Amino acid sequence: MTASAEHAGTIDIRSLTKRYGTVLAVDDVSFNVPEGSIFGLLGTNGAGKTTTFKCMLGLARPNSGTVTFGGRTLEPAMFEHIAYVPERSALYEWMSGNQHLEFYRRSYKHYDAERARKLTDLFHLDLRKRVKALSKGQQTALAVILAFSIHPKILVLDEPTSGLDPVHQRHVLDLMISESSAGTTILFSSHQIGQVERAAERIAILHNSKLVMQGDVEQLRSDEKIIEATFDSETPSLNGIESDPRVRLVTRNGRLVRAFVRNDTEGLMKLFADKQPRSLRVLDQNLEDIFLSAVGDDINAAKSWGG
Amino acid sequence: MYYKELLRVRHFFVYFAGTIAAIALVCMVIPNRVLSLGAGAHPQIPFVFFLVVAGIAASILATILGTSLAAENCAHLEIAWTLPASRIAYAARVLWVDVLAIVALFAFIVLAGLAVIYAHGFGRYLVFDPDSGAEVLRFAAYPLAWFGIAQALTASMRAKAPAYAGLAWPVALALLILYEVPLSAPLHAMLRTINLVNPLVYASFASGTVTPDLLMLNAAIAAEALAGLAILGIALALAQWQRLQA
Repeated sequence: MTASAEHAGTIDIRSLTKRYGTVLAVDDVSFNVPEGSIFGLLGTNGAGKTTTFKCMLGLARPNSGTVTFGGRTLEPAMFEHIAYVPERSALYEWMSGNQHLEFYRRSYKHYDAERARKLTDLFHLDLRKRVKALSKGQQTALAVILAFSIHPKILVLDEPTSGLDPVHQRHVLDLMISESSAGTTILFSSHQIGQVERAAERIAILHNSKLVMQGDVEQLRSDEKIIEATFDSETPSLNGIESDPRVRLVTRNGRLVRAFVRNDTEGLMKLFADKQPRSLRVLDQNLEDIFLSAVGDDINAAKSWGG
Repeated sequence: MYYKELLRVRHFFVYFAGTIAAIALVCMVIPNRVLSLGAGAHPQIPFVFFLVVAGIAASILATILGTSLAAENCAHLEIAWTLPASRIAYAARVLWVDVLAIVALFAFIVLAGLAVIYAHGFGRYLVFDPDSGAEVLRFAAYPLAWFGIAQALTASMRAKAPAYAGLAWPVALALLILYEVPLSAPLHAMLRTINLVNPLVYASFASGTVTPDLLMLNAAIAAEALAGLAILGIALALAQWQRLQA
């Protein structure tokens, strides 16, 4: 077995850049999605997530950079094992759910009718209805059913829970986790950070078309602690804490000050305690903290690594 | 692999064929005494009449189906381009099924017309020209030429495609009329050249020659020209489709 066959589900994106006219949609983005992992792509609106997906799948032509799947550049036959759920429905509005399933059955060798039936039951979808008669959430559910029914090795999901109710959102996440445990590589985007936190093992964060952070979720969480202090004064004086090399970022929100600390949390706690805050505590970072600090809350950002 | 395409054209085909079938049925039940075949002891029903009607009706369908690639481009590329098939193969499948539907409708209309004639016992009045075979090819190729032109115009478009495909008809008519207007020689020559790709030029009702002032062609050459337009249009559409990637 060759190396590429062993890791057919690995996605490797290198120096991907895409311009639409003068607009830079994706700027030199590189990341790697290991086989069988769940990888979350986070970013604000217009950050370049969908464009990245489109470039990956050949729906848009990148200006530079490469994308490989298991070490191979994309070719049509590989779509036998790659499924894509786009953010905006691409279903045929004049076709019914049943007709879509039949279309996929005839198009994909590994289409699993039994699985499609079970998923249809799970999402309570009436397949007799035409797509134009389905709600946005139902259309998303149908797209998800189609994607999972072909037993893909790679699943690319752009906002896969968009329009779904919380119960069905949970179903999609459970499906992703279950599919990943069976070896499927999953790359997905979502604005719902809680979902990404629950499902993704690794993340990349795009901001203003650039990759601003990536890594293992647990590692990123443990990389930094947050010291949160509440002061009596609206503008507490921090006297040098903001420029302390152990502190990556300090955010202020009225009386609340949060410092993102890389190391020596105890030493910095003492510095904060000297400022006599009303309350002081150390928090573990959650993904939302990581995301917000990565995309740079310009109002609150006081300092970031490397200027 | 043709499933979705067959479903797509079925909708249009059923609508058109159903309308034609209904008209044919109505014509069949009209009593003979109400029908007039003109004065004289030897009334004539030219076979080419049915070809013209079928050609025009099929051309309407052809114009509608002529935006099929644009419709894919407008909203379905995320499905169409992530199927395990080459893009050209996919587009060729779309176009092939469209062509089949257009030809099938053409044949259906001709047969429906003949059925009406024979149902009334007027079959003996049918007049076949010596070049009826070439006329069949000419009027079968006529809607395909419109199809090719519509595809070539719209393959890389999105929502505006139907409007552009529809505009091809009045523009073609205007070009033909302009040619008849006294204009300067260079302009006249230019219009003559442009009209070479105008399907209307090749669809004169008269058998044997096609718009004599413009082109001296017989039905066989007109059929070849129309088929050429269809092939050229389809080739241009496929080339656009291949380069469509944003």
